[in-house]
Amino acid sequence: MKIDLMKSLLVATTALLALSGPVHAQDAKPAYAPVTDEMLANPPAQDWLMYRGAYNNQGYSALDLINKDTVGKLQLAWAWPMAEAGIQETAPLVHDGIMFLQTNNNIVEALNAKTGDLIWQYRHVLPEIPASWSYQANQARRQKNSIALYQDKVILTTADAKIVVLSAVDGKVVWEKQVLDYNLGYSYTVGPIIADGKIITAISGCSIAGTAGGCYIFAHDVNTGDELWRFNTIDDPNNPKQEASWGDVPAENRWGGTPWTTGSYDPATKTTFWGIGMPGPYSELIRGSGDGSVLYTNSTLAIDIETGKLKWYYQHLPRDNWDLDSPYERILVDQDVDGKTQHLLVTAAGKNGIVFALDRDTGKYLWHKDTVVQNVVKSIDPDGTVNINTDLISKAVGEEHLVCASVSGGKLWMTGSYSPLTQAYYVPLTEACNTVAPTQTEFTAGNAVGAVKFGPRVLPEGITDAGLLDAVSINPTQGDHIWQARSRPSMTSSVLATAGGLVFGGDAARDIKAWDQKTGDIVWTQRLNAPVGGYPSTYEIDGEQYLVVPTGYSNAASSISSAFPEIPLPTGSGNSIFVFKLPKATN
Amino acid sequence: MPFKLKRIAAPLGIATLVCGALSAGSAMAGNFTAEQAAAGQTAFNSNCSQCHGRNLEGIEAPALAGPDVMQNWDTAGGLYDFISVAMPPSAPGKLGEETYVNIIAYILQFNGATPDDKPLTSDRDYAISLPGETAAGAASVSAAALDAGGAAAPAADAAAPTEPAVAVPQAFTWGKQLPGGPAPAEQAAAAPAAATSTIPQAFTWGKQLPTVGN
Repeated sequence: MKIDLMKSLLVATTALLALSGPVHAQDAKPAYAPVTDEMLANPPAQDWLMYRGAYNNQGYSALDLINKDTVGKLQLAWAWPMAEAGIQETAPLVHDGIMFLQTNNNIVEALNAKTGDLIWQYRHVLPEIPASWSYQANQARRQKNSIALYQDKVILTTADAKIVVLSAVDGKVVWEKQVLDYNLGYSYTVGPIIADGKIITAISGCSIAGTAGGCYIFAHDVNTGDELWRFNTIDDPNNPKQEASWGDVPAENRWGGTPWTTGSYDPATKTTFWGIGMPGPYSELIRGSGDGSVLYTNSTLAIDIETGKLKWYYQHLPRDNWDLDSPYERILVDQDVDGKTQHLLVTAAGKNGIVFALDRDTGKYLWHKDTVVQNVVKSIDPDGTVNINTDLISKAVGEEHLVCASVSGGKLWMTGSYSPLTQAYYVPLTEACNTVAPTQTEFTAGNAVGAVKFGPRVLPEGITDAGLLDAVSINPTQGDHIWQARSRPSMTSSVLATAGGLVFGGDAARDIKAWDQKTGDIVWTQRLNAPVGGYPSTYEIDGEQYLVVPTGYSNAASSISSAFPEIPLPTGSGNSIFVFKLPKATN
Repeated sequence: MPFKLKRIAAPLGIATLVCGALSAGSAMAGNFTAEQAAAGQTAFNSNCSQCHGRNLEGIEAPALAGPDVMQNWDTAGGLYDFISVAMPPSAPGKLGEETYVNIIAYILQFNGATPDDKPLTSDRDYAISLPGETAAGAASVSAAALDAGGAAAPAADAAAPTEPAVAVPQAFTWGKQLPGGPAPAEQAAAAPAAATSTIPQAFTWGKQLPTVGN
């Protein structure tokens, strides 16, 4: 039979090329349900369509088959070794039964999300850079978070500053665009948002010497790649206050302002919200900016997605002297209070771990709540003005201060989740301090402009547990701690909240855990091969809920491992994903 | 303990502390022996290279080679204070003082410092200047890699500029005298690439910055 023969050939060929997937006999082209604008606005519960599940960056899933009663029965469904070593910060996406997994060096793999079979693999070819560009080389080995799905495409940002659009069906390149010059130090380390027909991206590498004067959020046309607008986070000619905040320092001697966490998007107001990182050089003594607040570093930016114009900004940490970036997740929360819907933006904005609530329509400060030990912010005025501890500002080269949180956090890239069930924000944190002393260094190509000597990360005085999962209540008036779960090892993964009443996350001791959202009780633990990393997420296929847990090499583990020497870290990279589900009988 | 580790555990609000200034050392005697560097290379390759790279180029962890790395760590004692507490992550602080000192000797040698007959000891080396000791070799880290038995640096991509010619902006203060900082002339001496490089520098580079205790 001719058709049977073709089937056999197809099977053989696809097995050889690792191109399995849903193959149809009459039509060799695999079927794939396009990701529509409607899906992006209202993601189906069974999918994990984008970085944090939805435009609001809540990191919440409406799936509830895995819940407080059933979680103890989770079993391993399949596991997969990642294609590349390096620091492990991946956010697997799932749509139409396919898992899209990005790893370091911009390798993307499509896997059958039910069986773990490889469907296709894309390996981006990065240019070779000089061996001495060590900081820049490391960017390719610490890719943060995600890719994006749109229609029948996978959209990728790369360590050599390109947008690459792949076919979701076979992983072939549809088009690619060089956005900025990697020779200057620019690279993408965070993934895009797809909204309003645009690819919204933010460049990284802005603390590398050659990138002086410009760090950008971009919009490109999702079909053509044409640039529609860009916003420079460290040089805004439309705002004299921004220019003045750098003192005498001209744009060509400014660095930093990197928006290194994927932003959120409010379709109702067509506004995209991004957090911005620290200024460079780190110390104002070396920076030359005096007591200026160095805008828009360590701020939240609300940008009109149609025009790229700034609607408002709020600075969480002015006059940073300690590399305490504030780029982390901006979470959008709507709450009905006294018959009125409140539009909140909630964020543990920066490394010092302070949780802020803002009115996201106006940028008005509502409240803040401390989490980990920190000594850089003394107080915040009712109007939102942040008063820093000027005693910790070095006035001379080599002048050293003990600063909390540390350059490694406090808060780091690991992202918190908001649960509508409990109206709480679950934030993974580390208790840590380090000494900071400015140095006067000549900058070299491909390397950072920090010009600071950091001491080792140490626990704050009187604290013996590095790890903290803080559950902070969210409302328009004042947040508070619902519970705080402390542990000897540091938290090393983002967390996932689900309608099953659980929060999933993991630590340097290789344990993936589930906490009860209401009480903080640990209701499930499973030890894995390496520190839990990336972004645990969940999806459903054929009536079964799956939990995917990334593991691997972690900065959040290695930087503070001296605080828990009884828990040795593995020296192998171990970058993997583990996929769990309930036994059939349980469902 | 010869090194002043106790300051790491100091309480919050601690007063300022003085590090060795760039001018504390100068490019001359090695202050470590060839035997120490050889033992340090073995220890480094066994305990550190899987993250920092056989050529100290950095893989998962930061690079340990290059003039800016030396300038940021500032002194041998500053580097010791860090690694003897935090490294390696799988056994932090557990390698023993002699091994940590040897590893520092190897890092010095890799970066271009020349050994002599005076061993690096923990009594007198707190203020040994890393940029000063390595200045002679800092311009040729690739050559040092070969000397140390490492591989040559990979050829640059055709689109990438060759290393010595790359110009980057410097800090606004670069070339200025900052308190506690080296005189502008010493900055140039500590950073041998400066004469041929137009790399961007800090706004304060080359300026006189205040010194601790001034």
